[in-house]
Amino acid sequence: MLSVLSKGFKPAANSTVAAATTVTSTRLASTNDVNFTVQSYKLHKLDNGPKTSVTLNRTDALDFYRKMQVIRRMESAAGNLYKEKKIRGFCHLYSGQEACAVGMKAAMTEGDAVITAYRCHGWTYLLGSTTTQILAELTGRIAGNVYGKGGSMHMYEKNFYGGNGIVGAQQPLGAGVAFAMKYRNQKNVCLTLYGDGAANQGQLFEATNMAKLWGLPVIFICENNGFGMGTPIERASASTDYYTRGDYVPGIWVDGMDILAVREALRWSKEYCDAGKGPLMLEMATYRYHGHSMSDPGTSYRTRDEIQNVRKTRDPITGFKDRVVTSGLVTEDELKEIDKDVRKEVEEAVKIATTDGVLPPEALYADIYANTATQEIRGATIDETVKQPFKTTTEVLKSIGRL
Amino acid sequence: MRRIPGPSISLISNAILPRIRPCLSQIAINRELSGNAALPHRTRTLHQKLEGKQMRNFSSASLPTHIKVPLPALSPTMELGTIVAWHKKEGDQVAEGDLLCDIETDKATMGFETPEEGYLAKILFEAGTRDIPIGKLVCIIVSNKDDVAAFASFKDEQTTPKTTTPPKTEAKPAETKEPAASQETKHGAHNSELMGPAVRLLFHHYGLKAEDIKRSGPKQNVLKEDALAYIASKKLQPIKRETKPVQQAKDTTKYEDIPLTNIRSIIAKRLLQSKQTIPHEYLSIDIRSDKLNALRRDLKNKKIAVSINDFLVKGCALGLRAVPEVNVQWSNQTSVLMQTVDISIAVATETGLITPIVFGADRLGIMGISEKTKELAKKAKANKLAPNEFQGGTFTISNLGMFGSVTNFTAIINPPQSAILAVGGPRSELDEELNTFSRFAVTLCYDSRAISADSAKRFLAHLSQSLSDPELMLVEPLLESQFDFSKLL
Repeated sequence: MLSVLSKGFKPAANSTVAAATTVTSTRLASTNDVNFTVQSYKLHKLDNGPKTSVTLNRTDALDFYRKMQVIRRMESAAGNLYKEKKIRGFCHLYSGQEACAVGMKAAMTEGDAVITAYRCHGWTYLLGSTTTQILAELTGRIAGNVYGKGGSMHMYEKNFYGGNGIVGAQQPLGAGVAFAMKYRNQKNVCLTLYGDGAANQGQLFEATNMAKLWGLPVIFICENNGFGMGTPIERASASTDYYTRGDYVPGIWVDGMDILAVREALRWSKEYCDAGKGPLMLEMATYRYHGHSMSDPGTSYRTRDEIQNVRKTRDPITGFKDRVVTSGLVTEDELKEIDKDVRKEVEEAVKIATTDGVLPPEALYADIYANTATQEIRGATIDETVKQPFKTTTEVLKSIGRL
Repeated sequence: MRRIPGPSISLISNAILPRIRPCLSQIAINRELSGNAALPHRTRTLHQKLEGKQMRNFSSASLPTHIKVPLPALSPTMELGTIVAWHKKEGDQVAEGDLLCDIETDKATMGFETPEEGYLAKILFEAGTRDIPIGKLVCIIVSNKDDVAAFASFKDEQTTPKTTTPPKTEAKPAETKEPAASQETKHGAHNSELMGPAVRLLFHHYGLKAEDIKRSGPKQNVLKEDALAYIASKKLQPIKRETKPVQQAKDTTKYEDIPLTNIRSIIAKRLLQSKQTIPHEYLSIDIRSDKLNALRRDLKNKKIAVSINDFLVKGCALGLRAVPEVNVQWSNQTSVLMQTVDISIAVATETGLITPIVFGADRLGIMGISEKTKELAKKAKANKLAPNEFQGGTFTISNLGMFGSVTNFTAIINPPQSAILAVGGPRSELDEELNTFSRFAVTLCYDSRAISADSAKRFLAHLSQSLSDPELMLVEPLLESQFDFSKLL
């Protein structure tokens, strides 16, 4: 049976799988953990850092691959929906940066918090939302993460603080969340993500000062994709070593296209913060394939060749795929199955996102205060004063039968 | 069809399945689509419940699974798009990030990346198709290369609300030779139409075709030098085009042009110049004329025929002496006080309005003024006025009082003078005690650069006093100007 399968197995045209037959045999022999070497990290004010030799087991490999594929597909679907004018307004896509999010999530434990900016669809998925909820939120439907009320800038989950519109606004908030954790003696960290464009915001340095002063368990992570909207980092920052910008806060540079490097770096950083040694500043060197948002084609400040080059040489998903298939942890067909499954999941999500209904207008007056009596809302004229019909969105949903 | 796990599926799926797929029942196809039986049942029923792309595909001529690619909205304001060029041909593989085609939007030409990975099965609009509405199907992508053949004759069944204009390409040389009034080829295939206005003009004049000319532009476009070189090498002549004469609209209204006489055109020019350059201001006053009329009748009884106009001239002359600030000319940004009082009288003749001058009106008596005026009017009507008799003057009176219906009017100053008095017709009115009295209005139109409102007011007050009480003309009446205001301080 095995030989029949081995002979029948034909590797796909563009795969980098070398010895096909040996792969299948080692799979059945089932080594659970495989060792990989990742690119070494650059350290700032640290004597030792994360290990460059990491292990990966089969379950994790399939899980990571699936998650990255979901994010990639979901972002493409969002892009296509935007082009069909089903999503309006802002839409910032994460394609190319999946390894950062999935890698970081892999190192997080229960109770760790994340706060990021508006390139957050991937994170919202990883922290509990379904693809349906995310895509429906972007199209503004009831099935959405916050019932279609906010879009990209307003997605929340347990221990996920958004989804923030103002550039760099989340940096002090992240330090605040970490402060709460320290106050409550929790052994948790808060991952505060921001981009290379927001790395020059003043409040980051204020937050860093307070974090170092009070030893807060916050990890400031700069997702450096090389461009702040259309400005390359060399034209925006006097120092492009974002992991050193914390000055007195130790920093680590990580290859953000390698999920295993990211995971290891975060695991080490969490250990560091849990031990009470204070904040850290990480930099993920990553790349985004789409433009800054859907209104930016992404090719006016860089060439299409550059993007294609990164896709060919540094793509997080294909890179990871090649590694795990070559090492024998998984087979290519398993991954193809996952691809198909992911595609279906996203397609269904797209269908619901395009066909579901929208909240009724009374939802405008809901969820204003958490603990007051029914409010009187003034309209455009004195005659248009409305007494809050429902206090919470839950009540609104009950009234339309969605709960 | 039982699903065989493992690597051998690749053999079957790639080779046999496309051939047997059309024969399979819908249920089996669905099961194949939803993949493993290991998938939760929910997925399949949800799949069947919701209207999906796959469902729609199979309802028509059982084509293999494919993805329909509509024209995307590449900018929020885009409504129509033109496909400039295709970067992939039918049958080509498309991977994530590959460009499918270049689309020209309302703002710019942008590349359209493929929404899905797979193989391009069918292109529905060729390069050069203009004004395709957003959402219209432009191509089909399939995941298997072998499915490409199934779409060879695929047609989009959905009708569009707008019909797309047929592509106008450069491959129609006859169009360039049509007369100027008819439509020009505006756009066509990519880059063969990218040309500047000068080049376009040359093409139009010489009836050129882009294919014949060597291009040296950075985007493979034709430059002016290329076109000129071609014309020179072929020694072409510009094409004569028939231009239709512009048709004048027939004027159906009947009218007659009255040519201006010399004198009228001069008057017109001077009036225009005066009105445009001199800032006119107007002050009006009503003058009671009972006593004046009585005096006139009295004199008539004594066989002395004088008119109201003569009294006016005398009154104005005395006024100008009393208020010399009104007897000025404006020159070199200053008011120049005139030494003599020469009053021009406006006389209407057939050829136009002329103003003969009564020189030294302040030194003439009423009789003298009357005689002079009559003599001048006679000469004027006979067109025998000498130039020195109507050129000059320091003040003008224009009297329309003989046309009794005119209550008041304003006149245009005759430069280089600075004022003109417009006299209206007499009106009979009742006063407070219900006694009838008659009065007429005069309007002093003056150059507000040269004469102040105060001076004008004093002049009119003086005139009004003089004329409403003619006896006062013998006695110099006490004027406000003679009042020493410094005594008030």
